[in-house]
Amino acid sequence: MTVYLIRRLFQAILVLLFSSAVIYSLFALAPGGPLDELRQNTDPKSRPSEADIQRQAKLLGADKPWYLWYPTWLAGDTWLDKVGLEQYVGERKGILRWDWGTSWKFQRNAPVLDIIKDKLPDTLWLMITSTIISLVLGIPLGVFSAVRQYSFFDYILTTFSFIGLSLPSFWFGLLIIAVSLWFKRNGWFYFPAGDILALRNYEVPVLGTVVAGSFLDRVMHLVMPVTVLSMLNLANWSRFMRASMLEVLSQDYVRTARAKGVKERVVIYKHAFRNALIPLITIIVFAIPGVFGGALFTETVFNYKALGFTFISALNLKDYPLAMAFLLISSILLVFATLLADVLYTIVDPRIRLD
Amino acid sequence: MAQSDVLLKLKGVKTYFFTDEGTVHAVDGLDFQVRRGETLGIVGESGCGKSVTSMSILRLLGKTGKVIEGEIMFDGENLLDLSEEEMRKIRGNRISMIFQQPTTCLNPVFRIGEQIIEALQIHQGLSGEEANKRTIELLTLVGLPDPVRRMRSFPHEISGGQAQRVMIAMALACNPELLIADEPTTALDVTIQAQILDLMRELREKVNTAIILITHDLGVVAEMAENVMVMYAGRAVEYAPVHALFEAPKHPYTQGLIASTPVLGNVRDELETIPGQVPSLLNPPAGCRFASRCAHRMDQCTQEEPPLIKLEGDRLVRCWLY
Repeated sequence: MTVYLIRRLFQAILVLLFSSAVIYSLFALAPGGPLDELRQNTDPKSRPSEADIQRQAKLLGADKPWYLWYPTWLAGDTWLDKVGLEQYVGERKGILRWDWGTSWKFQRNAPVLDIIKDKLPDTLWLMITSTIISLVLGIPLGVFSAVRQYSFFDYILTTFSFIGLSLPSFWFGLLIIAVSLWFKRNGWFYFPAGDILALRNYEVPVLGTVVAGSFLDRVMHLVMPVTVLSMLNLANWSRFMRASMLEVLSQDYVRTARAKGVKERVVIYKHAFRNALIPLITIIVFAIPGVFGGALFTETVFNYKALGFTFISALNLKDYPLAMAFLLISSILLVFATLLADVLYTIVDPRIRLD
Repeated sequence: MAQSDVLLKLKGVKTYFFTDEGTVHAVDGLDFQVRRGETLGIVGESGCGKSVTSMSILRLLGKTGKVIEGEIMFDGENLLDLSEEEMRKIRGNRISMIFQQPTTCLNPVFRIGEQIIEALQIHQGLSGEEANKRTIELLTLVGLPDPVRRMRSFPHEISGGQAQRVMIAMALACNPELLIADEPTTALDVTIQAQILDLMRELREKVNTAIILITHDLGVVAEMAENVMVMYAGRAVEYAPVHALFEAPKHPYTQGLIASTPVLGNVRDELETIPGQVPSLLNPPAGCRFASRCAHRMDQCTQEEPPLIKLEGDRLVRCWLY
């Protein structure tokens, strides 16, 4: 097992190096760069001169030729004089020496890690809440509908799942924002339509005054985005659980358990459920990188400016250090989620051994 | 034969499956009985209703299947009238079952010991320690080597033959009055088959359990059973003591079955076969169900189904020839 883990660790490092190189190459290949906007300024008076632009580029570290970008990001530029590129020597230490760089445009010169640390709690609130809700509801719903396959309940859940799966989150988000605003206009109970926290205290029927920045305020703001996110996961995971459970219920060992005189409830929740959960590990574990990544569309629709929103902005602004940090962390989480899944499988399924 | 001597008696049992394509008449009017301690072989091709019969007795047909007519009397009680809870107390306790694929019949995520202990705890309310002791006894009884260590094994760690021994131990855990063995040796190697059959015979002497042995293997029946029922397309076509059946099969189907069994040392270029196929059970033909494949077909056969005709020596046969 230890040998296996060490081997996997080395593989993980290679995968990460390779994937970061690919991601960086894709950025480099994409047309445009962080300074294009300066050149596109149509007003001749405020258009920066080429010298200004060059100074700006030097500041960002974007003055280097494209083939030095990735090595700089990876290993820094303090050592470039040793390979005969004195003119590009700078102070960056590179990701290998824990220098994540600074943002180019999103928050100019702010360290990338600070931006991420700043946004992370809001993302975790959103993603962990919706993941837990989806799991806590999705697993039992899937089990129930498998046990009562083709019943009225099963059909309802199937219909609901297809709606959940096919509604785009931005559309569903806008829909419930509209409904919420309509409620508000009629003086009924409503949830705030956007933002993470309110700036000023506000009045809501039934609850009275909600203090801006309080826990209640946070919960009020979470309800709608969490609903949208949970809808999709819930639909997905309950379908998955249903399929997994149906497969297990038709296995010979379930028949054996029944023939042994085991209570039907125990047949389902002990003999079948234990087995049906095994494939679910993959799904649950792969939700981990998602928890960090946030929800791109949902955050944008609800103006919930957490990590998903930041990532989209970084891409739009061509803020490469920020986008790279984001993608690298996602890759690391993904690689380790895979490893975690493999290890968890050996715990829940005695047939699987790693060596 | 005293009434109390009869352990299980099926009367006019019809089990239908209601599927999208229509109603499958899987078992279509079946009568037979098993005396205490008797071993009855049920023989027939795949799809003739053998396994459905056993699942009907245990009432484990699933959602689509249902016994729509008849009585299944077990020790004087009609199993079909029992509540689900009463039925559950019979399963694995007074009637237990072993299946064809022993390795897939054991739950892969629980240890072998746990799976046997579960049966003991459900029906006999044994404490953990008692159940443990009894499980070791049972595993020793079925000849599993090193039972204490084996209890802690997972099903994938043992062979098919050992898994069938475990299944038998589990089935015998509560000293059942009736053991239904559905193709218990089909999935095993020939040498292991012989071992399992020996084991079953030995255990029958020790615990005096009645056995319904379902198989398509006439060799197994010849070795194990006292009486044999031959099934064809959901109905019994012949019933006879085992020696009488092999010496003089009466029904053309039984004759065909016996003729199509290879005999050791008897080299023939080709085995006898029964031409044609089992009729669809969605729409069973009128008249005798074997008529379309029968060499002795008469006009009467396609018009009217023969009743079970009583012959000398406790034999029954469903054929117009007699």
